[in-house]
Amino acid sequence: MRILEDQILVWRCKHGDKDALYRIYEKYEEDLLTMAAHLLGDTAGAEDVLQDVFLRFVESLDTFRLTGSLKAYLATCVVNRCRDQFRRNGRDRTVPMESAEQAVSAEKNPVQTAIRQEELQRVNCALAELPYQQREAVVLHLTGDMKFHAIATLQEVPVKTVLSRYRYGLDKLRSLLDGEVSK
Amino acid sequence: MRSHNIENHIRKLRYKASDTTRQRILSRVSDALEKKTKSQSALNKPNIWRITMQSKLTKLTIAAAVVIAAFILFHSTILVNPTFADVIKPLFTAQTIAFDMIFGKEGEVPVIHDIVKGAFIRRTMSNMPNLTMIIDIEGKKMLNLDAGTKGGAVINITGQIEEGTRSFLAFIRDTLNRVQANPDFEAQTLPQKEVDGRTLIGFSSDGPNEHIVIWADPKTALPVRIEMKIGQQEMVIKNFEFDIPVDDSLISMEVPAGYMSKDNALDLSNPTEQDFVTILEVWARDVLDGQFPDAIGIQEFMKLIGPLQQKLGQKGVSQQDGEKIGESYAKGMMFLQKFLLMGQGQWHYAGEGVKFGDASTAVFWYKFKDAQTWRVIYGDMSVKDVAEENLPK
Repeated sequence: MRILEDQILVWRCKHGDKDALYRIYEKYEEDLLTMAAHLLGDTAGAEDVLQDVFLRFVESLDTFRLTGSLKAYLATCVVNRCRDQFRRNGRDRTVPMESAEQAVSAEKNPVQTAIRQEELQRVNCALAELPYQQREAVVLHLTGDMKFHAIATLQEVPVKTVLSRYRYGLDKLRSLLDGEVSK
Repeated sequence: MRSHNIENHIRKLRYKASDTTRQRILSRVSDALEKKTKSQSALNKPNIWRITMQSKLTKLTIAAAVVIAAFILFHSTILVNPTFADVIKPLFTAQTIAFDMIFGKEGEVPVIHDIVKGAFIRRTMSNMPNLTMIIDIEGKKMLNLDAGTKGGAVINITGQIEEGTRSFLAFIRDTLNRVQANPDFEAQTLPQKEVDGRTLIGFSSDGPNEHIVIWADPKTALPVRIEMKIGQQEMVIKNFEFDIPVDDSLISMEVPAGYMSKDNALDLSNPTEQDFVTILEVWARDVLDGQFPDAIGIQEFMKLIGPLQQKLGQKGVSQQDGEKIGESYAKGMMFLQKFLLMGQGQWHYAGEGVKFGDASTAVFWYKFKDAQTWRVIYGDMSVKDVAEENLPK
Protein backbone atom coordinates (compact mmCIF):
# COMPACT_ATOMS: atom_id res chain seq x y z
CA MET A 1 0.00 0.00 0.00
CA ARG A 2 2.86 2.40 0.89
CA ILE A 3 4.49 1.72 -2.46
CA LEU A 4 1.27 2.46 -4.32
CA GLU A 5 0.82 5.66 -2.33
CA ASP A 6 4.40 6.63 -3.12
CA GLN A 7 3.87 5.94 -6.81
CA ILE A 8 0.93 8.30 -6.81
CA LEU A 9 2.88 10.90 -4.86
CA VAL A 10 5.79 10.66 -7.29
CA TRP A 11 3.41 10.93 -10.22
CA ARG A 12 1.91 14.05 -8.68
CA CYS A 13 5.38 15.48 -8.07
CA LYS A 14 6.19 14.90 -11.72
CA HIS A 15 3.17 17.07 -12.46
CA GLY A 16 4.44 19.84 -10.23
CA ASP A 17 2.27 19.10 -7.19
CA LYS A 18 4.02 20.68 -4.22
CA ASP A 19 1.67 19.09 -1.69
CA ALA A 20 2.78 15.67 -2.90
CA LEU A 21 6.40 16.69 -2.49
CA TYR A 22 5.69 17.93 1.05
CA ARG A 23 3.97 14.65 1.83
CA ILE A 24 6.98 12.62 0.68
CA TYR A 25 9.24 14.85 2.73
CA GLU A 26 7.08 14.52 5.83
CA LYS A 27 6.88 10.75 5.46
CA TYR A 28 10.60 10.19 5.28
CA GLU A 29 12.24 13.20 6.92
CA GLU A 30 12.79 11.56 10.30
CA ASP A 31 14.11 8.25 8.96
CA LEU A 32 16.47 9.89 6.49
CA LEU A 33 17.70 12.56 8.87
CA THR A 34 18.31 10.02 11.62
CA MET A 35 20.27 7.85 9.24
CA ALA A 36 22.36 10.74 7.96
CA ALA A 37 22.98 12.09 11.47
CA HIS A 38 24.24 8.71 12.65
CA LEU A 39 26.41 8.21 9.62
CA LEU A 40 27.98 11.65 9.79
CA GLY A 41 27.84 12.24 13.53
CA ASP A 42 26.79 15.75 12.65
CA THR A 43 23.20 16.98 12.53
CA ALA A 44 23.97 20.14 10.57
CA GLY A 45 25.71 18.05 7.93
CA ALA A 46 22.81 15.59 8.02
CA GLU A 47 20.35 18.38 7.31
CA ASP A 48 22.46 19.48 4.35
CA VAL A 49 22.44 15.92 3.05
CA LEU A 50 18.67 15.72 3.46
CA GLN A 51 18.18 18.93 1.52
CA ASP A 52 20.60 17.83 -1.17
CA VAL A 53 18.88 14.47 -1.57
CA PHE A 54 15.47 16.10 -2.02
CA LEU A 55 16.82 18.70 -4.44
CA ARG A 56 18.39 15.96 -6.54
CA PHE A 57 15.18 13.95 -6.34
CA VAL A 58 13.24 16.92 -7.76
CA GLU A 59 15.83 17.48 -10.47
CA SER A 60 15.66 13.84 -11.52
CA LEU A 61 11.87 13.69 -11.70
CA ASP A 62 11.84 13.75 -15.52
CA THR A 63 13.56 10.42 -15.75
CA PHE A 64 12.73 9.02 -12.32
CA ARG A 65 10.84 5.73 -12.32
CA LEU A 66 9.81 4.19 -9.05
CA THR A 67 10.32 0.47 -9.39
CA GLY A 68 10.55 -0.42 -5.71
CA SER A 69 10.39 1.35 -2.40
CA LEU A 70 10.75 5.12 -2.45
CA LYS A 71 12.15 5.01 1.07
CA ALA A 72 14.87 2.58 -0.02
CA TYR A 73 15.71 4.80 -2.99
CA LEU A 74 15.98 7.92 -0.84
CA ALA A 75 17.94 6.01 1.80
CA THR A 76 20.45 4.92 -0.83
CA CYS A 77 20.81 8.55 -1.93
CA VAL A 78 21.44 9.54 1.69
CA VAL A 79 24.09 6.86 2.08
CA ASN A 80 25.88 7.97 -1.08
CA ARG A 81 25.81 11.63 -0.10
CA CYS A 82 27.05 10.80 3.40
CA ARG A 83 29.95 8.83 1.95
CA ASP A 84 30.88 11.80 -0.24
CA GLN A 85 30.72 14.12 2.72
CA PHE A 86 32.64 11.73 4.93
CA ARG A 87 35.41 11.48 2.35
CA ARG A 88 35.54 15.26 2.00
CA ASN A 89 35.67 15.89 5.74
CA GLY A 90 38.33 13.28 6.50
CA ARG A 91 37.91 9.78 7.74
CA ASP A 92 37.83 10.26 11.46
CA ARG A 93 36.47 13.72 11.83
CA THR A 94 33.10 13.92 13.48
CA VAL A 95 31.29 16.81 15.07
CA PRO A 96 29.42 16.38 18.35
CA MET A 97 25.70 16.48 17.90
CA GLU A 98 24.98 19.18 20.41
CA SER A 99 22.43 20.87 18.23
CA ALA A 100 20.48 17.72 17.62
CA GLU A 101 16.75 17.92 18.11
CA GLN A 102 16.20 14.42 19.37
CA ALA A 103 12.76 12.88 19.34
CA VAL A 104 13.00 11.61 22.89
CA SER A 105 10.44 13.64 24.76
CA ALA A 106 7.96 10.82 25.30
CA GLU A 107 8.61 10.86 29.05
CA LYS A 108 6.76 13.64 30.80
CA ASN A 109 9.05 13.48 33.82
CA PRO A 110 11.90 15.94 33.19
CA VAL A 111 14.36 13.83 35.21
CA GLN A 112 13.62 10.76 33.08
CA THR A 113 13.94 12.85 29.97
CA ALA A 114 17.31 14.17 31.07
CA ILE A 115 18.57 10.66 31.85
CA ARG A 116 17.41 9.40 28.53
CA GLN A 117 19.00 12.32 26.71
CA GLU A 118 22.27 11.52 28.40
CA GLU A 119 22.04 7.85 27.45
CA LEU A 120 21.34 8.70 23.87
CA GLN A 121 24.20 11.17 23.78
CA ARG A 122 26.52 8.40 24.92
CA VAL A 123 25.26 6.09 22.18
CA ASN A 124 25.80 8.86 19.68
CA CYS A 125 29.35 9.46 20.74
CA ALA A 126 30.05 5.73 20.68
CA LEU A 127 28.64 5.43 17.16
CA ALA A 128 30.92 8.23 16.03
CA GLU A 129 33.89 6.19 17.23
CA LEU A 130 33.18 3.28 14.90
CA PRO A 131 35.08 2.84 11.63
CA TYR A 132 32.84 4.21 8.88
CA GLN A 133 31.97 0.92 7.19
CA GLN A 134 31.02 -0.69 10.50
CA ARG A 135 29.00 2.37 11.42
CA GLU A 136 27.23 2.21 8.06
CA ALA A 137 26.34 -1.47 8.54
CA VAL A 138 24.97 -0.82 12.04
CA VAL A 139 23.09 2.33 11.14
CA LEU A 140 21.55 1.05 7.91
CA HIS A 141 20.33 -2.11 9.60
CA LEU A 142 19.06 -0.56 12.81
CA THR A 143 17.75 2.83 11.72
CA GLY A 144 17.28 2.28 8.01
CA ASP A 145 15.55 -1.10 8.47
CA MET A 146 17.70 -2.42 5.61
CA LYS A 147 18.31 -6.13 5.22
CA PHE A 148 21.90 -7.34 5.28
CA HIS A 149 21.81 -8.42 1.65
CA ALA A 150 20.64 -4.92 0.66
CA ILE A 151 23.49 -3.40 2.65
CA ALA A 152 25.87 -5.84 0.97
CA THR A 153 24.69 -4.64 -2.43
CA LEU A 154 25.14 -1.04 -1.36
CA GLN A 155 28.61 -1.65 0.06
CA GLU A 156 29.54 -3.93 -2.84
CA VAL A 157 30.79 -6.65 -0.53
CA PRO A 158 29.57 -10.18 0.32
CA VAL A 159 26.80 -10.50 2.92
CA LYS A 160 29.29 -12.27 5.21
CA THR A 161 31.43 -9.15 5.26
CA VAL A 162 28.45 -7.00 6.16
CA LEU A 163 27.53 -9.37 8.98
CA SER A 164 31.10 -9.18 10.28
CA ARG A 165 31.11 -5.40 10.11
CA TYR A 166 27.79 -5.31 11.92
CA ARG A 167 28.96 -7.73 14.63
CA TYR A 168 32.30 -5.99 15.15
CA GLY A 169 30.50 -2.65 15.22
CA LEU A 170 28.12 -3.80 17.93
CA ASP A 171 30.95 -5.36 19.94
CA LYS A 172 32.90 -2.15 19.84
CA LEU A 173 29.84 -0.12 20.80
CA ARG A 174 29.29 -2.37 23.82
CA SER A 175 32.93 -1.97 24.83
CA LEU A 176 32.79 1.77 24.46
CA LEU A 177 29.58 2.05 26.45
CA ASP A 178 30.94 -0.21 29.19
CA GLY A 179 34.11 1.87 29.34
CA GLU A 180 36.28 -1.03 28.20
CA VAL A 181 37.58 0.24 24.93
CA SER A 182 40.33 -1.95 23.57
CA LYS A 183 42.37 -0.55 20.73
CA MET B 1 22.70 1.86 30.39
CA ARG B 2 22.75 -1.85 29.61
CA SER B 3 25.04 -2.27 26.68
CA HIS B 4 23.42 -5.52 25.54
CA ASN B 5 20.37 -3.44 24.65
CA ILE B 6 22.47 -1.37 22.32
CA GLU B 7 20.44 -2.34 19.26
CA ASN B 8 17.25 -1.08 20.87
CA HIS B 9 18.94 2.12 21.98
CA ILE B 10 20.13 2.86 18.47
CA ARG B 11 16.71 2.10 17.03
CA LYS B 12 15.16 4.56 19.47
CA LEU B 13 17.67 7.27 18.75
CA ARG B 14 15.73 9.48 16.36
CA TYR B 15 16.16 12.96 14.97
CA LYS B 16 13.71 15.43 13.58
CA ALA B 17 14.49 18.60 11.72
CA SER B 18 13.67 21.79 13.56
CA ASP B 19 10.78 23.82 12.20
CA THR B 20 13.22 26.35 10.77
CA THR B 21 15.24 23.69 9.01
CA ARG B 22 12.12 21.99 7.70
CA GLN B 23 10.80 25.27 6.32
CA ARG B 24 14.15 26.05 4.71
CA ILE B 25 14.43 22.65 3.04
CA LEU B 26 10.80 22.62 1.90
CA SER B 27 11.10 26.13 0.55
CA ARG B 28 14.16 25.22 -1.52
CA VAL B 29 12.86 21.95 -2.91
CA SER B 30 9.51 23.58 -3.57
CA ASP B 31 11.20 26.35 -5.56
CA ALA B 32 13.17 23.73 -7.46
CA LEU B 33 9.97 21.87 -8.31
CA GLU B 34 8.26 25.05 -9.46
CA LYS B 35 11.17 26.01 -11.70
CA LYS B 36 11.30 22.52 -13.09
CA THR B 37 7.59 22.41 -13.80
CA LYS B 38 7.72 25.74 -15.62
CA SER B 39 10.65 24.77 -17.79
CA GLN B 40 9.12 21.36 -18.46
CA SER B 41 5.87 22.96 -19.52
CA ALA B 42 7.69 25.24 -21.94
CA LEU B 43 9.65 22.32 -23.36
CA ASN B 44 6.60 20.14 -23.79
CA LYS B 45 4.47 22.67 -25.63
CA PRO B 46 5.76 22.09 -29.17
CA ASN B 47 5.11 18.37 -28.85
CA ILE B 48 1.53 18.64 -27.75
CA TRP B 49 0.10 19.09 -31.18
CA ARG B 50 2.03 16.45 -33.02
CA ILE B 51 -0.98 14.30 -33.42
CA THR B 52 -0.19 11.03 -35.07
CA MET B 53 -1.15 7.49 -34.27
CA GLN B 54 2.31 6.03 -34.00
CA SER B 55 1.98 3.51 -31.24
CA LYS B 56 0.05 0.30 -31.33
CA LEU B 57 -0.97 0.94 -27.74
CA THR B 58 -2.11 4.49 -28.25
CA LYS B 59 -5.61 3.47 -29.16
CA LEU B 60 -5.88 1.22 -26.14
CA THR B 61 -4.83 4.02 -23.84
CA ILE B 62 -7.10 6.52 -25.48
CA ALA B 63 -10.04 4.16 -25.59
CA ALA B 64 -9.62 3.42 -21.91
CA ALA B 65 -9.38 7.09 -21.09
CA VAL B 66 -12.50 7.92 -23.07
CA VAL B 67 -14.49 5.25 -21.30
CA ILE B 68 -13.23 6.25 -17.87
CA ALA B 69 -14.06 9.87 -18.58
CA ALA B 70 -17.48 8.92 -19.78
CA PHE B 71 -18.63 6.49 -17.15
CA ILE B 72 -16.93 7.17 -13.92
CA LEU B 73 -19.92 9.04 -12.59
CA PHE B 74 -23.23 7.72 -11.53
CA HIS B 75 -26.32 8.35 -13.55
CA SER B 76 -28.51 7.71 -10.57
CA THR B 77 -30.31 10.61 -8.99
CA ILE B 78 -28.65 11.64 -5.78
CA LEU B 79 -30.80 13.09 -3.05
CA VAL B 80 -28.85 14.55 -0.19
CA ASN B 81 -29.62 16.92 2.61
CA PRO B 82 -26.62 19.02 3.58
CA THR B 83 -26.19 22.70 2.83
CA PHE B 84 -22.81 24.13 3.51
CA ALA B 85 -23.31 27.75 2.44
CA ASP B 86 -19.94 29.40 2.87
CA VAL B 87 -17.96 26.23 2.39
CA ILE B 88 -19.52 25.24 -0.91
CA LYS B 89 -19.67 28.76 -2.34
CA PRO B 90 -16.22 28.62 -4.02
CA LEU B 91 -17.29 25.47 -5.85
CA PHE B 92 -19.86 27.59 -7.66
CA THR B 93 -18.09 30.92 -7.99
CA ALA B 94 -14.47 30.11 -8.81
CA GLN B 95 -13.41 30.81 -12.39
CA THR B 96 -11.05 27.85 -12.37
CA ILE B 97 -10.82 24.86 -10.07
CA ALA B 98 -8.35 22.01 -9.83
CA PHE B 99 -8.88 18.89 -7.74
CA ASP B 100 -8.13 15.19 -7.40
CA MET B 101 -10.90 12.63 -7.73
CA ILE B 102 -10.64 9.14 -6.34
CA PHE B 103 -13.36 6.76 -7.39
CA GLY B 104 -13.10 4.03 -4.75
CA LYS B 105 -10.85 3.58 -1.73
CA GLU B 106 -7.90 5.95 -1.48
CA GLY B 107 -4.60 4.24 -2.19
CA GLU B 108 -6.26 1.34 -3.99
CA VAL B 109 -7.41 3.03 -7.17
CA PRO B 110 -5.88 5.60 -9.51
CA VAL B 111 -6.22 9.31 -8.87
CA ILE B 112 -7.83 11.51 -11.49
CA HIS B 113 -6.68 15.13 -11.58
CA ASP B 114 -8.98 17.68 -13.21
CA ILE B 115 -8.38 21.32 -14.01
CA VAL B 116 -11.70 22.95 -14.89
CA LYS B 117 -12.14 26.26 -16.70
CA GLY B 118 -15.65 26.95 -17.92
CA ALA B 119 -16.79 24.08 -20.12
CA PHE B 120 -13.24 22.84 -20.61
CA ILE B 121 -11.51 20.20 -18.55
CA ARG B 122 -7.88 19.16 -18.58
CA ARG B 123 -7.68 15.69 -17.10
CA THR B 124 -4.81 13.41 -16.14
CA MET B 125 -4.82 10.06 -14.40
CA SER B 126 -2.20 8.52 -12.12
CA ASN B 127 -2.37 5.11 -13.81
CA MET B 128 -1.77 6.62 -17.26
CA PRO B 129 0.90 9.23 -16.57
CA ASN B 130 1.60 10.01 -20.22
CA LEU B 131 -2.00 10.70 -21.11
CA THR B 132 -3.68 14.09 -21.01
CA MET B 133 -7.30 14.57 -21.96
CA ILE B 134 -8.78 17.91 -22.87
CA ILE B 135 -12.54 17.77 -22.86
CA ASP B 136 -14.83 20.39 -24.35
CA ILE B 137 -18.16 19.55 -22.78
CA GLU B 138 -20.18 22.06 -24.83
CA GLY B 139 -18.34 21.36 -28.07
CA LYS B 140 -18.73 17.61 -27.49
CA LYS B 141 -15.11 16.91 -28.35
CA MET B 142 -12.23 15.36 -26.52
CA LEU B 143 -8.56 15.72 -27.39
CA ASN B 144 -6.33 12.91 -26.12
CA LEU B 145 -2.59 13.40 -26.02
CA ASP B 146 -0.03 10.73 -25.23
CA ALA B 147 3.25 12.37 -24.21
CA GLY B 148 5.06 9.03 -24.27
CA THR B 149 4.37 8.17 -27.89
CA LYS B 150 3.57 11.69 -29.06
CA GLY B 151 0.37 10.13 -30.31
CA GLY B 152 -3.15 11.33 -29.83
CA ALA B 153 -6.57 11.82 -31.30
CA VAL B 154 -9.59 14.03 -31.34
CA ILE B 155 -12.72 12.14 -30.38
CA ASN B 156 -16.23 13.31 -31.05
CA ILE B 157 -18.25 12.70 -27.92
CA THR B 158 -21.46 11.31 -29.27
CA GLY B 159 -23.98 8.59 -28.50
CA GLN B 160 -23.44 6.59 -25.33
CA ILE B 161 -20.18 8.43 -24.68
CA GLU B 162 -22.00 11.78 -24.76
CA GLU B 163 -24.51 10.59 -22.18
CA GLY B 164 -21.77 9.55 -19.84
CA THR B 165 -19.20 12.27 -20.29
CA ARG B 166 -19.73 14.91 -17.66
CA SER B 167 -17.68 17.19 -15.56
CA PHE B 168 -17.00 15.96 -12.06
CA LEU B 169 -17.34 19.54 -10.93
CA ALA B 170 -20.77 19.77 -12.55
CA PHE B 171 -21.65 16.55 -10.78
CA ILE B 172 -20.65 18.01 -7.42
CA ARG B 173 -22.53 21.23 -8.15
CA ASP B 174 -25.69 19.35 -9.19
CA THR B 175 -25.52 17.35 -6.00
CA LEU B 176 -25.12 20.43 -3.83
CA ASN B 177 -27.93 22.24 -5.66
CA ARG B 178 -30.29 19.39 -4.92
CA VAL B 179 -29.18 19.48 -1.31
CA GLN B 180 -29.97 23.15 -0.97
CA ALA B 181 -33.32 22.77 -2.66
CA ASN B 182 -34.43 20.14 -0.19
CA PRO B 183 -36.86 21.65 2.37
CA ASP B 184 -35.82 19.05 4.96
CA PHE B 185 -32.22 19.93 4.53
CA GLU B 186 -30.05 19.36 7.59
CA ALA B 187 -26.28 19.28 7.94
CA GLN B 188 -24.42 18.07 10.99
CA THR B 189 -21.31 19.89 12.16
CA LEU B 190 -18.48 17.46 12.87
CA PRO B 191 -15.69 17.87 15.42
CA GLN B 192 -12.50 19.34 14.05
CA LYS B 193 -10.20 16.75 12.58
CA GLU B 194 -6.64 16.39 11.35
CA VAL B 195 -6.73 15.54 7.66
CA ASP B 196 -3.45 15.31 5.76
CA GLY B 197 -1.76 17.28 8.51
CA ARG B 198 -4.30 20.12 8.56
CA THR B 199 -6.95 20.89 11.16
CA LEU B 200 -10.27 21.05 9.36
CA ILE B 201 -13.91 21.64 10.14
CA GLY B 202 -16.44 19.22 8.77
CA PHE B 203 -20.08 18.91 7.84
CA SER B 204 -21.93 15.76 7.03
CA SER B 205 -25.29 14.72 5.77
CA ASP B 206 -27.00 11.43 5.06
CA GLY B 207 -29.59 10.68 2.44
CA PRO B 208 -31.50 7.47 1.73
CA ASN B 209 -28.56 5.96 -0.16
CA GLU B 210 -25.71 8.33 0.37
CA HIS B 211 -23.41 9.82 2.95
CA ILE B 212 -21.57 13.06 2.22
CA VAL B 213 -18.87 14.76 4.28
CA ILE B 214 -17.20 18.06 3.43
CA TRP B 215 -14.02 19.10 5.20
CA ALA B 216 -12.98 22.72 5.01
CA ASP B 217 -10.25 25.06 6.19
CA PRO B 218 -11.69 27.00 9.15
CA LYS B 219 -9.64 30.09 8.31
CA THR B 220 -10.52 30.42 4.65
CA ALA B 221 -13.79 28.44 4.57
CA LEU B 222 -12.50 26.80 1.41
CA PRO B 223 -13.40 23.16 0.90
CA VAL B 224 -10.42 20.87 1.25
CA ARG B 225 -11.93 17.44 0.89
CA ILE B 226 -15.29 15.95 -0.01
CA GLU B 227 -16.08 12.34 0.80
CA MET B 228 -19.14 10.65 -0.66
CA LYS B 229 -20.54 7.19 -0.30
CA ILE B 230 -23.41 6.33 -2.56
CA GLY B 231 -24.65 2.80 -2.02
CA GLN B 232 -21.45 0.81 -1.72
CA GLN B 233 -19.48 3.16 -3.94
CA GLU B 234 -17.03 5.51 -2.29
CA MET B 235 -15.45 8.58 -3.83
CA VAL B 236 -13.16 11.29 -2.56
CA ILE B 237 -12.55 14.71 -4.09
CA LYS B 238 -9.61 16.54 -2.58
CA ASN B 239 -6.61 18.82 -3.07
CA PHE B 240 -8.84 21.63 -4.27
CA GLU B 241 -7.26 24.72 -5.76
CA PHE B 242 -9.47 27.67 -6.60
CA ASP B 243 -8.96 30.45 -9.14
CA ILE B 244 -5.60 29.21 -10.25
CA PRO B 245 -4.23 30.67 -13.47
CA VAL B 246 -5.02 28.34 -16.36
CA ASP B 247 -3.47 29.32 -19.66
CA ASP B 248 -5.86 28.89 -22.59
CA SER B 249 -3.26 26.78 -24.38
CA LEU B 250 -3.73 24.15 -21.70
CA ILE B 251 -7.37 23.66 -22.63
CA SER B 252 -7.27 24.50 -26.32
CA MET B 253 -8.93 22.12 -28.76
CA GLU B 254 -7.50 23.95 -31.78
CA VAL B 255 -4.77 22.23 -33.70
CA PRO B 256 -2.22 24.78 -34.93
CA ALA B 257 -1.58 25.14 -38.66
CA GLY B 258 1.09 22.83 -39.97
CA TYR B 259 0.17 19.93 -37.73
CA MET B 260 -1.92 16.91 -38.51
CA SER B 261 -4.96 15.93 -36.58
CA LYS B 262 -6.85 12.71 -36.72
CA ASP B 263 -10.50 13.18 -35.86
CA ASN B 264 -12.79 10.31 -35.02
CA ALA B 265 -9.86 7.98 -34.60
CA LEU B 266 -11.96 5.63 -32.55
CA ASP B 267 -15.23 4.00 -33.39
CA LEU B 268 -16.90 3.49 -30.06
CA SER B 269 -20.41 3.30 -31.43
CA ASN B 270 -22.65 0.28 -30.94
CA PRO B 271 -20.89 -1.73 -28.25
CA THR B 272 -21.88 -5.37 -28.53
CA GLU B 273 -21.91 -8.57 -26.51
CA GLN B 274 -18.84 -9.69 -28.47
CA ASP B 275 -16.97 -6.61 -27.23
CA PHE B 276 -17.83 -7.56 -23.67
CA VAL B 277 -16.70 -11.14 -24.27
CA THR B 278 -13.43 -9.68 -25.54
CA ILE B 279 -12.87 -7.68 -22.37
CA LEU B 280 -13.50 -10.77 -20.21
CA GLU B 281 -11.17 -12.82 -22.38
CA VAL B 282 -8.42 -10.20 -22.32
CA TRP B 283 -8.66 -9.88 -18.55
CA ALA B 284 -8.60 -13.61 -17.88
CA ARG B 285 -6.21 -14.77 -20.58
CA ASP B 286 -3.79 -11.87 -20.89
CA VAL B 287 -3.82 -10.02 -17.61
CA LEU B 288 -4.84 -12.33 -14.76
CA ASP B 289 -2.96 -15.50 -15.71
CA GLY B 290 -5.97 -17.61 -16.54
CA GLN B 291 -8.34 -16.39 -13.83
CA PHE B 292 -11.38 -14.19 -14.21
CA PRO B 293 -11.44 -11.11 -11.99
CA ASP B 294 -13.20 -11.27 -8.64
CA ALA B 295 -15.56 -8.50 -9.68
CA ILE B 296 -16.22 -6.35 -12.73
CA GLY B 297 -16.79 -2.63 -12.99
CA ILE B 298 -15.10 0.67 -13.66
CA GLN B 299 -12.62 0.10 -10.82
CA GLU B 300 -11.40 -3.18 -12.31
CA PHE B 301 -11.30 -1.55 -15.72
CA MET B 302 -9.08 1.23 -14.39
CA LYS B 303 -6.87 -1.07 -12.35
CA LEU B 304 -6.28 -3.56 -15.16
CA ILE B 305 -5.57 -1.15 -17.99
CA GLY B 306 -1.94 -0.68 -16.92
CA PRO B 307 -1.14 -4.41 -16.62
CA LEU B 308 -2.90 -4.99 -19.94
CA GLN B 309 -0.70 -2.43 -21.67
CA GLN B 310 2.37 -4.11 -20.21
CA LYS B 311 1.27 -7.60 -21.26
CA LEU B 312 0.49 -6.52 -24.80
CA GLY B 313 3.88 -4.81 -24.98
CA GLN B 314 5.63 -7.94 -23.68
CA LYS B 315 3.81 -10.16 -26.16
CA GLY B 316 4.77 -7.97 -29.09
CA VAL B 317 1.17 -7.58 -30.21
CA SER B 318 0.96 -6.08 -33.71
CA GLN B 319 -0.22 -2.53 -34.28
CA GLN B 320 -3.40 -3.73 -35.93
CA ASP B 321 -4.24 -6.18 -33.16
CA GLY B 322 -3.37 -3.64 -30.48
CA GLU B 323 -5.80 -1.16 -32.00
CA LYS B 324 -8.49 -3.76 -32.32
CA ILE B 325 -8.08 -4.87 -28.70
CA GLY B 326 -8.13 -1.22 -27.62
CA GLU B 327 -11.43 -0.52 -29.29
CA SER B 328 -13.03 -3.75 -28.16
CA TYR B 329 -11.76 -3.27 -24.63
CA ALA B 330 -13.37 0.15 -24.42
CA LYS B 331 -16.56 -0.98 -26.09
CA GLY B 332 -16.77 -4.00 -23.82
CA MET B 333 -16.81 -1.68 -20.85
CA MET B 334 -19.45 0.44 -22.55
CA PHE B 335 -21.58 -2.66 -23.04
CA LEU B 336 -21.37 -3.40 -19.33
CA GLN B 337 -22.33 0.19 -18.52
CA LYS B 338 -25.66 -0.42 -20.22
CA PHE B 339 -26.49 -2.49 -17.15
CA LEU B 340 -24.39 -0.86 -14.47
CA LEU B 341 -25.41 2.70 -15.14
CA MET B 342 -28.21 2.78 -17.62
CA GLY B 343 -30.46 0.12 -16.17
CA GLN B 344 -31.15 -1.49 -19.53
CA GLY B 345 -31.55 -4.95 -18.08
CA GLN B 346 -30.50 -7.45 -15.40
CA TRP B 347 -27.07 -9.01 -15.02
CA HIS B 348 -25.03 -11.21 -12.74
CA TYR B 349 -21.29 -11.82 -12.56
CA ALA B 350 -19.91 -15.07 -11.14
CA GLY B 351 -16.36 -15.16 -12.47
CA GLU B 352 -14.56 -15.19 -9.13
CA GLY B 353 -12.43 -18.33 -8.91
CA VAL B 354 -13.35 -19.52 -12.41
CA LYS B 355 -10.51 -20.55 -14.71
CA PHE B 356 -10.31 -19.30 -18.27
CA GLY B 357 -11.37 -22.10 -20.62
CA ASP B 358 -13.82 -23.74 -18.20
CA ALA B 359 -16.71 -24.51 -20.55
CA SER B 360 -18.97 -25.83 -17.81
CA THR B 361 -19.03 -22.76 -15.57
CA ALA B 362 -20.93 -19.58 -16.32
CA VAL B 363 -19.13 -16.35 -15.52
CA PHE B 364 -21.70 -13.77 -16.59
CA TRP B 365 -25.35 -13.72 -17.59
CA TYR B 366 -27.59 -10.89 -18.60
CA LYS B 367 -31.00 -10.10 -20.05
CA PHE B 368 -32.14 -6.93 -21.72
CA LYS B 369 -35.51 -5.65 -20.55
CA ASP B 370 -37.40 -6.78 -23.64
CA ALA B 371 -35.60 -10.14 -24.06
CA GLN B 372 -37.31 -13.49 -23.51
CA THR B 373 -34.23 -15.44 -22.49
CA TRP B 374 -30.93 -14.82 -20.76
CA ARG B 375 -27.57 -14.76 -22.48
CA VAL B 376 -24.98 -16.75 -20.53
CA ILE B 377 -21.22 -16.39 -21.06
CA TYR B 378 -19.12 -19.39 -19.96
CA GLY B 379 -15.49 -19.67 -18.94
CA ASP B 380 -14.46 -20.78 -22.44
CA MET B 381 -16.10 -17.62 -23.79
CA SER B 382 -18.95 -19.50 -25.42
CA VAL B 383 -22.35 -17.81 -25.20
CA LYS B 384 -25.74 -19.52 -25.04
CA ASP B 385 -29.41 -18.53 -24.75
CA VAL B 386 -30.77 -19.93 -21.51
CA ALA B 387 -34.27 -19.90 -20.06
CA GLU B 388 -34.66 -18.25 -16.70
CA GLU B 389 -35.41 -21.54 -14.92
CA ASN B 390 -32.15 -23.01 -16.21
CA LEU B 391 -29.87 -20.23 -15.05
CA PRO B 392 -26.91 -21.16 -12.85
CA LYS B 393 -27.77 -21.16 -9.15
